[in-house]
Amino acid sequence: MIDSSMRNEGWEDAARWKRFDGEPRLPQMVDYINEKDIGVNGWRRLFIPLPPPFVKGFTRASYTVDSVTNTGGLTLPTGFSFKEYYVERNTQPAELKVMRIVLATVTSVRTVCERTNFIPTLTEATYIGDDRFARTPKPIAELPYMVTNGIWPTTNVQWLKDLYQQYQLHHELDVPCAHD
Amino acid sequence: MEKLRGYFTKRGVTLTATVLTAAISANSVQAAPLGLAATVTASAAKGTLIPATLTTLVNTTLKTMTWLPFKFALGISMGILLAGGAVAVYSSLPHKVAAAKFEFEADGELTVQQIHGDKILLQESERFEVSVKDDKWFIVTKPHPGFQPAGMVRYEVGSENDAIYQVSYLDKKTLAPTSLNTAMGRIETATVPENIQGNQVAELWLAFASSHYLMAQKTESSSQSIT
Repeated sequence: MIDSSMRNEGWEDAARWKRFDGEPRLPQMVDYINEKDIGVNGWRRLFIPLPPPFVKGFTRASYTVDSVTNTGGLTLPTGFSFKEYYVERNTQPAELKVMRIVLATVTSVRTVCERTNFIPTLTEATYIGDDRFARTPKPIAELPYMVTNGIWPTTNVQWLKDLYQQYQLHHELDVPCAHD
Repeated sequence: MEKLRGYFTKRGVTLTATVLTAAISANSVQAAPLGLAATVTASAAKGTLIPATLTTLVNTTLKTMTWLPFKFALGISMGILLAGGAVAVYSSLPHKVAAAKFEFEADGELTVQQIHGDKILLQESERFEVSVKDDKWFIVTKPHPGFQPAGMVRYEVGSENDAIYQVSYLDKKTLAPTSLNTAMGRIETATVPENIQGNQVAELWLAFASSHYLMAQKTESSSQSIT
């Protein structure tokens, strides 16, 4: 639940949560607290001080389970809401406003999982953005390539290694890959 | 730039070119692989403060747009919609814990509202399916035809072995004739999905598949920074 660019900046929100007592101990409520707003100045990200009364932070998002079912020894949500907020700076004083609401209603639950493959099957020509090299010593945020044989490549496939090195070279020369 | 601005305008967001270019410039490092971002960035204004919500919006849009021919990409909203702000929460892999044994599947409906002030700018509805087995999970979202985001008909994401794999299947009727791909995918090393608006996977993960992640954290019901 992160924005990848923020992750690269090492930025994170604090969170507090409470879980159900019953297995699999899923969250009953979660609040995400943002202590400083984030903005951008040219190429750099900035922490922007929050206006009163939010100088110590604000609830950026909240997750709440509205109803549950106890089935086969599991406590599972049958309804939840997720709300995201922003600080409206154009009011005096600043106000917390809802900007997005996700409401979920569960229509069926089965305490058996018939799925055996948890990786999506590539059944069509797929353009891939590969972020697995983003945390290497010489990081590449995203390697783009096309997959037409239905196989997710492992990182040690030779053509992917070659592509990674090609992109590294561009970075070392400080040439954006977009100019290829 | 005008096309990009038109894209947002269609979705109820009015942005000036200056604001857009500044936001694009701040995010074009990630968006650089294909030509669009660099072209736009070349004329980007610097020094303008942009809220993170807009930054995320543009950043995600650019990511999407780099994956497809420009003409078609304007119609796609794989990961973004309106005044979206990602909720940045988890930023690295948790310590592994002994996996509790459980499994289940759940189906249901999602309703998503984008709001500004007191106005609902957009409301969407979609079906979802979740499969969970121990620390492995798989989520499918399918927009209802009437609410279908431009270009996307089905979204699948799954996780195994600390990697997340995701694929968006595109509506072939909306594809440009020159499009080489009919799906867009992504792989990342992570256990927690990004909060990319448009697919609601992060919310579904939190609701159904976050057990092992939360189990690995030191405390609960208390404020903490998760790293």
